[in-house]
Amino acid sequence: MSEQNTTHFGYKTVNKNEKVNLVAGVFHSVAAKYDVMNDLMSAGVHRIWKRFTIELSGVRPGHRVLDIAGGTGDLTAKFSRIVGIDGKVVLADINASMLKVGRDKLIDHGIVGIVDYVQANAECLPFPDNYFDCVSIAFGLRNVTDKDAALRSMLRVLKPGGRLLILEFSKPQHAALGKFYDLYSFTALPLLGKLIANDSDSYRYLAESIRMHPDQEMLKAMMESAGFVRSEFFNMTGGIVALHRGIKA
Amino acid sequence: MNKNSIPTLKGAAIATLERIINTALRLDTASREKLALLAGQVFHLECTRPDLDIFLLPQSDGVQLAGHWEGNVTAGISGSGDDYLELLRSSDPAATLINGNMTVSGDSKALLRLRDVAAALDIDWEAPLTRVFGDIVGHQMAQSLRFGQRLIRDAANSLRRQIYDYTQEENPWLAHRWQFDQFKHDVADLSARSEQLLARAAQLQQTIAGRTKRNQ
Repeated sequence: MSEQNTTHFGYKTVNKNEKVNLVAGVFHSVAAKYDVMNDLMSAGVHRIWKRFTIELSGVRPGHRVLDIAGGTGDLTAKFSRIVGIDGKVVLADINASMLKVGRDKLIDHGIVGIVDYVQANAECLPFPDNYFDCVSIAFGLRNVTDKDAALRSMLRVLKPGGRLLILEFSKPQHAALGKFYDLYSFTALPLLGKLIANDSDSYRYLAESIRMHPDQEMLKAMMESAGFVRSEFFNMTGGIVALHRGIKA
Repeated sequence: MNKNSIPTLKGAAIATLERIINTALRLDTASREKLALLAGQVFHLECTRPDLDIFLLPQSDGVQLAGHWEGNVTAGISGSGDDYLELLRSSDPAATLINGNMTVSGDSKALLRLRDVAAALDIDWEAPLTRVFGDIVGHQMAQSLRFGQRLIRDAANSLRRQIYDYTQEENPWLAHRWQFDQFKHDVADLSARSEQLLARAAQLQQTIAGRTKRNQ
């Protein structure tokens, strides 16, 4: 395999075309238990991280928002409350199983009319240029094969002045926390995956993919290379998760 | 707050507070409807003791609390927890806002409307209790709760009235603040003078002792 055609899938090096299918396999497998696992793995703290993402989004009534890798629709639900009937939220995910779970959940919560559902690849978003006021991607970028292409695609669909928000696992800022986090990720997570979702491999991939994801500074540099301005990041829970924000000039 | 570090605990506290407020509002339709009229406005509430800085956004179905807000703010208010309680209890909130220790900015009328909603919150426990315990038991429990609430409210009002009557009666015999301050000042002055006198007496004693020694 030539180096240009390969990428990471956790700690493994795989062909770029192969990664899409492997990631799809992971999410087909975990979709049904995704919300339960999120609550268990993070002890509910993921809700706090998402709250802060909404606060920094600057989304107002009437805005158009794109929630990429929106999965089970946590952010979409919150955005839809803010934009109201004059706005629009698009829940996009490359994985049909996740999209179905998200759509069913939002409809069950009475969120209809404001949200559109689109199965889309973040690297080549099927939307016009300068279309959205805000684009968010929560816990999705690390699964994207070509992150630079995805960032350029997000920049394209954003209106000038629009904001990109990337909520993603990152690098803990304290050595002791990092050691504890490693222990937790490589022992407790696969065990929880085995017990709850009957799938330890997918949660081992989760832990590995987090380690292979660019750290705070590197992701910020990638956003700047893609063309975002005023890029910045905010560490949460000691840097276990970071929220990156960039503006389209 | 470190710009690049967001305290998770503060976020959790705000989320919990929001949940409590929204649960209470679901049990008081009248307050929820009044609050819905303030939808679209943003209130910045800053509390110094305990330390809390939040933005309150009324919505059609409750409130949203945020620890961070980058848009326009309708009104802002800052003060200690005691000041907030005083404002809530006050029979003349406008006067309390103007004459109290709180700092107000922006549209104070909107702020007073928000205060009125908070002060008039009257939770109807019957609906959740009947949902859990059934119609008969739930109704009885709600009746008991209402009775208990009325009893506490009446007792508090009676206590307030009695304290007021007592202070009115005792007022002529009680020292005013300025009298107390004057007395305190006099005591402090007397204390300082006594110390000076003692020091002077000790110095004189030393002088006399020195002279007596020389004469011998």
